[in-house]
Amino acid sequence: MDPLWESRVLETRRQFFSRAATGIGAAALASLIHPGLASGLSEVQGAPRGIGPHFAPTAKRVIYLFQSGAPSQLDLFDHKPTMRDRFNTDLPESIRMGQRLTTMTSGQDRFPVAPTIFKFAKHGQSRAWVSELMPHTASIADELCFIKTVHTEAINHDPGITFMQTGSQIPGRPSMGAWLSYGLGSENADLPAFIVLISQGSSKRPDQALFSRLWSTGFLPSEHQGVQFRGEGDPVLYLSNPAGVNRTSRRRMLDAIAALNAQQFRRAGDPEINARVAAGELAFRMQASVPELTDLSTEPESTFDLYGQDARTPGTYAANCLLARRLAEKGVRFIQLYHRGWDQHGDLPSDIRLQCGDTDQASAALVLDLKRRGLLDDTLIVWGGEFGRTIYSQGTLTETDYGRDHHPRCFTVWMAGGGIKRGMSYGTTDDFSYNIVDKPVHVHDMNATILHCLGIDHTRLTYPFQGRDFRLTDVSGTVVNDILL
Amino acid sequence: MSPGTRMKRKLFLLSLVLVASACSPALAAGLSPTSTPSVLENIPRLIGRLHPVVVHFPIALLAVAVLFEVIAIVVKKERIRPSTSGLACVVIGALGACIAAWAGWLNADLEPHGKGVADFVEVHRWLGITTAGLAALALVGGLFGATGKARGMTALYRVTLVLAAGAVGVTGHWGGSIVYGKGYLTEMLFPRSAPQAPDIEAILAELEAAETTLTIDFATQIAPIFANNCIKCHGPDKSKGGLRLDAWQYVFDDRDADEQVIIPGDAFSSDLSFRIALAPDDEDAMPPEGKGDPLTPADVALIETWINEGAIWADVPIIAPAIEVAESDEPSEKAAADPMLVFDEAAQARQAEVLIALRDRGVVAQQLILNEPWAEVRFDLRREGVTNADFALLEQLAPTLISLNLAGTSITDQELVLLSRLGVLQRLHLERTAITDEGITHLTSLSQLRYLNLHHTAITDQGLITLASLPALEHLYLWETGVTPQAAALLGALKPTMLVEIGKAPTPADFDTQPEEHESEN
Repeated sequence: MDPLWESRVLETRRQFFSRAATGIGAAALASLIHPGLASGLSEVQGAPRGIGPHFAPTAKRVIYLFQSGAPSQLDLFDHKPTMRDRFNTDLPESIRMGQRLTTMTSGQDRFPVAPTIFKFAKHGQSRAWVSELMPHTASIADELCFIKTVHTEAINHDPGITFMQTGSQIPGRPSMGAWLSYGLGSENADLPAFIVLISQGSSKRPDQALFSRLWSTGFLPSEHQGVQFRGEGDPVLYLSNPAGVNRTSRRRMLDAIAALNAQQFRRAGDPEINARVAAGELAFRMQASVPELTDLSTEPESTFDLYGQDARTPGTYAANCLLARRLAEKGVRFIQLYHRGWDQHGDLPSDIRLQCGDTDQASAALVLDLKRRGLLDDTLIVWGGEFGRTIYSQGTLTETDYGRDHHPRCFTVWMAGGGIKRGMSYGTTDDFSYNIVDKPVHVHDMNATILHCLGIDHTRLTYPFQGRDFRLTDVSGTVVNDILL
Repeated sequence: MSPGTRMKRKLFLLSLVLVASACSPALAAGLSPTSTPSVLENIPRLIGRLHPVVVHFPIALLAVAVLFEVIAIVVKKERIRPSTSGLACVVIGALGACIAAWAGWLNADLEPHGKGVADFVEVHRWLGITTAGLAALALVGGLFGATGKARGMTALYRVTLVLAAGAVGVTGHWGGSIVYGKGYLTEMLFPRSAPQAPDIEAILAELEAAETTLTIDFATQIAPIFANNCIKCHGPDKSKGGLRLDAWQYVFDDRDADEQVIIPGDAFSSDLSFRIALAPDDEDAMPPEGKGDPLTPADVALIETWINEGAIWADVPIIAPAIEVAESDEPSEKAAADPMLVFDEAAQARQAEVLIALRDRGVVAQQLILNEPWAEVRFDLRREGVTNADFALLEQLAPTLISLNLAGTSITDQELVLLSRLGVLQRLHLERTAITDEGITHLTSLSQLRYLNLHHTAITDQGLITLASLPALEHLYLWETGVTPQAAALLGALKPTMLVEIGKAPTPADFDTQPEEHESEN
C-alpha cells in the first residue's frame, strides 16, 4: 500500500482541522482551493505572523549575549569581601551540604576557598558591584539589572547550555529563539527571525563545543530554526549565486522548484515541504539583504571608537555586537551571540582577563549604542553563561593563581532594556557565593520573564507534540515581577 | 581476376572505409577535454576544428550530384545506371560527409560552446550523422547501380541522394545558427516590425504606474555604482568597447539594436548584468581582472533589480520629490483620541482591511497585541518613500494606531501635518529623516505621545520648546541633532519624568577615568 495514501486515510477529522486552523494548514487549504495562490501568499502578507503577543510587550526583540563556558560570578559581579580572610581554608560542609561535584574536582582531597584577586568597586548611582575586570560594563551599571541568584539544574556544559536555551537538559526541544519566531513571527521578511553569531574567546583553555542543535527548531515547524551567520567568508554558506548565475535565473529556478514542491505538497501534505519552499524564498531575499547588513563600511569612525577596533574584524565578539545592533535595527526578533572560552578550571586570573578583554567594551558599547538610538527601550539584552563557578579552587591554589569548577547553584546574569528595571541588583547569595539566601531565580523563571517582556504568557506559548503541549518553561517558571518596570 | 571480382573487392573496401569512418565518432566520444593538453592530446581537437572546412564538400557535391542526376534522367532518359559525373560527386561528397560528421562530433564534445546553443548543437549533431548515413547509403546504392545489373539499387541511390542533399541543407542551417545565432537567415525573410514612434502618453502612464512599484532609485542607488566602478573605462575619457555609461543616450540611443548592453525589464538577457555577475577571473567579467574590484553582490543585485524594473534612467541625481499634501483629502472618519474606543466587529473588519492593504504595500502593519485593537506600522524596513496612498491608509487606521515607525523614510515637514490626526499615537520614530523644527510643530496635538525618536535630524533647541508642550512625552531621543546639551538638561529639569537622550557616548577616555568609584571594602 502506498504510505502516502495510507497516512491520508488514517488522518482523523480532528487532525485535519487542527492543521487547517494554523497558518500552514490554511495555506495548504488555500492552495487546494485555488492552486497558485499558495506561492504568492507569503509575498502578499509580508512577514509571517506568529500567535502572540498576549499582552502589551515592553520588548520587541532580544539580544542574548551568551558567555559560553560559564564566567566566574565570583571574579566579576558577586562581591564576597569576607573570603579574603578565608584564603586557603576548607569550604565548610555546612555550605556544600553534599552538593554533587563534577568528576574534575570530585577526586580532590580538599576544597580550599579561593577569594578573587580582583578589586571590586561600586559603580553609578545604583552602587552596583563590578570588578576591575569589566571597567566598561561598570560604567553603564546604571543601565543594567544584575540578577545574582540565577540557578540551574545542570552541572556540565552541554546539558547546561541546552537547559538555558531550551528549558530541557535533554536535546531536542526548540530553542528560545525558535519559540519566539514561532510565537511572534518575523518583522522583516528579508531576514530570518532568529540569527546566531559565534565568536571565539582569547583564553588558552580549549573551548567547549557549541552544537547547531542549540539553535534548533526542535518539533516546531522548520522555518523557525536559527540561522548562523559566519564570521569569515560568506556570512551565510552557499548564499551567493555561483559564477554565471544571476538573480533572474535564480528566481526562475526557485519558481520551478516551488511549482514541483507544490505538486508534492498536494500529494503528501507534509508541511515540511512548505518550510523548504519558505527557506528557499528567504534565502533569495537574503541574497540582497545580508551583504548590505554585513557591510560595515558605512559605519562612522565613532562606531569603532565605541565598540573597539576589534569590531573591524569579522567574527570577533565586538564585530558580532555591532552586527547585533544592525540586526536589531532591521527588526530581527532574536539575536543570539555566543562567546566561547569562559571555562576557567585553571589559570583563571590570566584567562578571565583575556575573556573580559574580548567582551567588556563591546557589551557595554551595544547597550550605549542602542540607548542613544532609542532602541534599548524595546530591545532586551541578556548577558550570562550556563552556570557559575565554585568558590573553592580546582587544582593548586596560590596567592596569584587558581581555577574554579562548575557551580550550578548560583550565578550572575545581567539584563538591560526592554522593560527591565535599570540600575538594580537582584537577589542575594551567601558569603561563599555558593547557596542562594534570598530571591532565587530559576532558569525557567528567567525564561518566563524574558517571554513576559516580549508580551508572551509563557504558559500559553505551547506546541502540541507527541500527545501533549510543550512549552519553553516546561511545567514551571514564575515571572520575576520585581525586576520589571 | 575478373572485372566483376575487382569491382566487388573495390566495393568491399569502400564499404569498410565507410563503416570505419561512421564508427569513429562513437570511439572519439569517449575522449574528454583535459586541462593541460600536450600536442598529441590536442590532435582530436585539431580534427574537430577541421569540421568547418570539410563540411563544404558534402554541401556542394551532394547538391551538384542531384543536378547531374536530374540532367541524366531528363535529358538522357537514363533509367538503369546513375550518371557517372553524379556518382563521382557522391563518392567525394559521401566521404566528406562522413569525415565532417566525425570531426563535428569531436568538435561538439571537445570545444566549449555557450550553454544557450547546447540545444542547437544536439540537433545539428544528429542531423549531421543522418546526412552522413544517407550519403553513405546513396554511395553504396550508386556503386552497385553502376554495374548496370541492379535497377533497384539505382532507385535507392536516387532516393537517398535527394534525401541526403536535403538533409545537408537543413544540417547546414542549424550549423549556421550555432555560429551566427538563431534566426540569422530567417530574420531577413521575416523582418521584425520596425520600432514604432514612442507613445508619450503611454510612457507617462507607465512611469506613473512604475513610480509606485519601483524599489530602486537610479540617481541614488545605481548612478553611484556606475560612477565608482565603470565610468573610468566606459565614460568620457575612455569608451572601451565603444560603450559609455555616463548618459542615457550613450547607453541606448547611440548603440545599434544588437549592441544594447541593457535590455530594460530583462536583466537575464542584458549583457551588462550578465558580465558584472561573472566570477572575477572569467574572461568576460566586468570590471576586468586587475581593472578594479568586482562589484559587490549587493550592487549586482541592485543593478539587476533596476534593469528588471525597466532600467529607468534619470539625467540628474533626483532627490525624492516632495509629495504635495492633498488639501482636499477629507478624513473619512474623525480621528478619535478617545481611549474608550468602540472596537466592534465592523471596526475590526475595517482595521483588518487596512492592515492588509498596508502589508500589500510592503509595510509591517499588525496588531500590537493579538486580537486587541491597538495597531503598529513600520515603514522603516521598506525601501521606498512614503506616499500619499500610505498616508491615506494611516489616516483610516488613526483610531487604533499607537506605534508608527517612519525612520529613514522620505517624510517631509509638510507631511507631518498628516500625523497630527493620529490622536492615540504613543510611539513615533522619525529618526534619520529630513524633518526640522518647523515640521514638529505639527506634533503638538499628539496628546498621548510617550516616545519620540528624533535621532539624526535637523532638530535644534528651537524644536525643544515645541516638544516641551507634549503632555505625555516620557522618552525623547536627540542624539546627532542640533540640540545643545544645555537645552536638553534644561528640558530634563523642567520635566523630571522625561528621559532626554542626547547620546553623548562616553569616550574610551571616559571609561579609563572612573576615579570616584573606588570604595573597595577589602
